[in-house]
Amino acid sequence: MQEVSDRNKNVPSQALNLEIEKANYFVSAARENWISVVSFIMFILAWELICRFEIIGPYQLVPPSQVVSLFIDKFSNPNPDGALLYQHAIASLSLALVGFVVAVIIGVPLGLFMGWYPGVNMAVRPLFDAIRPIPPIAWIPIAILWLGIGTTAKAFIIFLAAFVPCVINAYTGIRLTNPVLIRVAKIYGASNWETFLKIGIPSAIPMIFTGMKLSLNAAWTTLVAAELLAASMGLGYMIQLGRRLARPDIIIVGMLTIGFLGALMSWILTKIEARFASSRRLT
Amino acid sequence: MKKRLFACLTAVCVGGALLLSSLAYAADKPVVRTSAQPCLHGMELWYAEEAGWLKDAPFESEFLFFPSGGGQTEALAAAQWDCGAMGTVPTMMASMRYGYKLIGISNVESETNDLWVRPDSPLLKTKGANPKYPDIYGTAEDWKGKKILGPSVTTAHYALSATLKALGLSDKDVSIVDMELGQAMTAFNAGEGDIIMLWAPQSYMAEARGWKKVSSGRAANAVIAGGIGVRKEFAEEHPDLVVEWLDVYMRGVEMMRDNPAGSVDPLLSYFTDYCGLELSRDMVEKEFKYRDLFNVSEQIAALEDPNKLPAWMRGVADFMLAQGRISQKEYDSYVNANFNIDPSFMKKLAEKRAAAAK
Repeated sequence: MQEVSDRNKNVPSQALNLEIEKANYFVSAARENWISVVSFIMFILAWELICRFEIIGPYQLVPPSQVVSLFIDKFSNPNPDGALLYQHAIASLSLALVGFVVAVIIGVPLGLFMGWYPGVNMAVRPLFDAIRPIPPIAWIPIAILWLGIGTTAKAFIIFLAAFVPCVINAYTGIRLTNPVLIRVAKIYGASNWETFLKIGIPSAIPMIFTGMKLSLNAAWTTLVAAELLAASMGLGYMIQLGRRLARPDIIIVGMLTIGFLGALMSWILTKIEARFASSRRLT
Repeated sequence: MKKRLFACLTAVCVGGALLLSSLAYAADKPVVRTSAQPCLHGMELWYAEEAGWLKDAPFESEFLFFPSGGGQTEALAAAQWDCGAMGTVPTMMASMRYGYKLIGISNVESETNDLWVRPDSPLLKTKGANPKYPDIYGTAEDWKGKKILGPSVTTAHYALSATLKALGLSDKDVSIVDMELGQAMTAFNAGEGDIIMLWAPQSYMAEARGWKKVSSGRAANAVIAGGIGVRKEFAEEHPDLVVEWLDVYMRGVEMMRDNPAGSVDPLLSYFTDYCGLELSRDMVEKEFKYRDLFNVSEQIAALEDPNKLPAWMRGVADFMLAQGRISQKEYDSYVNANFNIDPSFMKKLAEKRAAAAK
């Protein structure tokens, strides 16, 4: 009883120590990152000055201040590209997500099966290897003929880009399963299917997440190409119109929004990975 | 052995000297980089090279090809070409943003910026619903809600907006799906969309596929003039070269204007051998039927007459302003600059030719 009350007395000082440790961590992190922060500020400053002194003309590069001002303006002004920034962003986000999610749903199990079952690998591998090097943009004419010009066709182009890293990483991940664990499972009487589910998949999870992150990047990088297929809204469309109107500010705002959304989704995926993968990782 | 070595060295020296002298001769002539798209306005300089017209010209020509005006305008901004021709919308954007000078009219392409439907389209049931526009098919109700494929913010889009305006509609009444020309044709062929906006020579391919023309710039009273232009800095640094280049270009325009029958074969060869387009002789003949071409004196008149080129360019600027693509400030400065039209080069060409004729 006495011990418990002593421990309770120590709680505030422990909390304080924890806070101090946290503060120290942030201070040292900030100290370590100051070079990155300063270089970023210098870059923005140099960009602004290059534009202000017209070293590069206003219709070739616009200053960051103008980009920020257009970024704010695009929340209320649909001109000249016909829609507000959030409408473009939602159109592109939904497109990228559909392509990415379908790629994960099909690609990850396919990669796992290919890695675990030699028969599946032999059946699928030649076709996969033939399709893999084809750039997604080359599929555009075929996608139009097969799927029309709606969301399905555009999502298909994104799916093709996102599918390959999913398959490769899931395949590699499961192939790297520790053979000792497989032998132990078999010694204890686990079937091949049980070993696949309980040993193979958990050990492949870190690689699967890496593949998903690569897929997500591929989905965003293919977005502009997919929206070239046909669009009346979306960030790729916005960039395309910026090109036709010779407006680099619109192009830059479109590019930065794609970059921001891509980074945001990647960050969310990292958080999910941290929660999900750490509890299921087998070595 | 020594004799053979001496002979070899002599041959190498003579060969090198000849090569250097030919290079030096080529280097003496400045290079004018010409830019065009795979349509009629690119034929002139290509043919000049084929026909040997450039042999006596005081410049070397380098020909750059672009699939559409967007890329052409970007390349202009990067100073990748000097003189060239492009559609009226990219010409306007290039003038507005980069000071590109509009120095001539490659052709008037109002009829060849057009709108097409499949033969079973309900639009074909009615013609001339608005008596002021007898060549436009379909009523306003027929057009409402239709899905229209093609590249937006282009001359074809200008023809579409003029058509909709003629029927009392606007872009908001239809659904425009932005697509590159080739992809739009593939999609339309596969049954996508209700209407497609095109320009020649793709229009002739549409006709060959049995699609029906329901309107055009001309049908909607929108005059669409293809522009001949020059990069601002090049015009300021080499005005004489611009005149020389224009001389060669106008020789091609005048050849087509004065002898359309004799120009069919060169144009067919240009389209099929150089541009890689599959066009028949019939299709190419239509180029001269549908397009208006101007000689030097007609060009000067059109460039200077406020009711001609300035009025046509104002029409495009009005369209872009109404679409919200340009701001009122940009519009005003473009109008105040007289649409960057500069007739001085065409006038100098006329003087040069008059002097040569004496």
